Amino acid sequence: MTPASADTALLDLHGIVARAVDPADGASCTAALDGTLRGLLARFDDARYAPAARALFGLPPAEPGQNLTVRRELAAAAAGHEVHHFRKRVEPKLVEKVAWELLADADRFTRLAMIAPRLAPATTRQPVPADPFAWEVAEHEEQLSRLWSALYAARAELLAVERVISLEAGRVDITTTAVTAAWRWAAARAEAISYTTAFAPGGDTGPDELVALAGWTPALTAAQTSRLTEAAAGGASREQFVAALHGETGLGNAWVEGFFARPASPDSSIESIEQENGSAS
Amino acid sequence: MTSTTTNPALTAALQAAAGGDPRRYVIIGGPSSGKDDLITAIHAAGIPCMAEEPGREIYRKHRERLGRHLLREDRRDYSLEVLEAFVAEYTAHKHGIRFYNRGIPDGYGWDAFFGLRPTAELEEATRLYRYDAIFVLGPLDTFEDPDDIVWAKDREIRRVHELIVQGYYDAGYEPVFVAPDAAAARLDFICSNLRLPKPSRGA
Repeated sequence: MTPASADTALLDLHGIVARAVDPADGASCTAALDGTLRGLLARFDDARYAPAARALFGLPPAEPGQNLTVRRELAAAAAGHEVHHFRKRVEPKLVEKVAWELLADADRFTRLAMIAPRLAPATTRQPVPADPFAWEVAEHEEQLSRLWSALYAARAELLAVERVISLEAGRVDITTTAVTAAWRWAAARAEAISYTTAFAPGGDTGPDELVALAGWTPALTAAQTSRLTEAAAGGASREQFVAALHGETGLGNAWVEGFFARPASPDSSIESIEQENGSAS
Repeated sequence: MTSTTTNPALTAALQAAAGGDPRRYVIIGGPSSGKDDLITAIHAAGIPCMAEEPGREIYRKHRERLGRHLLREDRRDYSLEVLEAFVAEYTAHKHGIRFYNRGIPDGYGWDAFFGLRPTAELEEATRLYRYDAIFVLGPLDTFEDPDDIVWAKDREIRRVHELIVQGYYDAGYEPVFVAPDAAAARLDFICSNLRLPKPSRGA
């Protein structure tokens, strides 16, 4: 495999980019593609056609520098087929299988940070082997689970605020629910900061992108957002959170009044014009 | 370690090699690959083998010192210490056959997993200290349950394992892949590959 012969679609696969020592360097990605293909072909699970697949892609029994015609002849002989039959009937299937393996490999390298871990009933205990491999990934999944539990808790409370508003509940009820949402949202942000600092420094996904997944929140200044986050960090209870923010009237108003404000909609300008003209009922 | 092998041909081959040049063979594989069972089988067959990978104890030590998970900025110190331990293991072996529980180029995969470029020390060690063969254990399970749910933890294990395999390619090796099987059968396969008598033949 040389940089000139490597297709860009292949070089852009998640599994290739992730393996490259320098993903921005074409030669590095080509080396990763070469290694990935060698690995896949070395593990080709169809015993009858494994030597043929390897030969087709230039591995022994083929030799470096041989052209496709020669490699195809070697592959056909290895599989026990006449060469034309091999080219028409067998080769496309082998290529398709290698392509499928490459896609499955790419899927294993898809970034997981934005995806909540899927859960299923555990029927057996899952002990963690005494291996740095396993310790690292188990800790990662612990943190990932904590992150998503915080994000979903915030989402639940933000939904609750919109529900009580929709039910035209009293101001006290709405305010109480909004404060609970602020506590959960701030705790989720603290968790997102903790997660991204430990596991995704400099990654595409920052804490604000993660916490935005919980739902819409009123606009706050950067200082107000930090203040909320500090008050909820370290597993603070709702009572501790409220006590920490006692006297922060401006922050409280910005959060709560944000929910009382009419939601912006595409036709809000029409409504305001109608209201100004006295035509709105 | 007391040998439990009853294969005189293997014992003779090991003894014949013992006075000659060092031959170093690396076994790599994730936690679900049966690596520990294979290492136990290698010991039981009387073949010299590294007991425990040094990374475990060094990881515990760093974790204890920091009191928290290793962050990206902690990785360099940890990796360099692991590398030093692997180099010490390598250079301590002077004659005959020896198996290694992971090897120096594992560092490439770890660095890549944490988004770091390989250190100059790793590059230098990889160039200086070469192994004679690399055996990669395939996972014993498919990491998938009957409902086709792939656990994030298992996916990550597979991911770091693939990065480590790539690290060996980057280091100029052509790893030999050992299919999932019982430890004894895998050891037979490895010995055949190294033109050594199969341990199970004497059992």
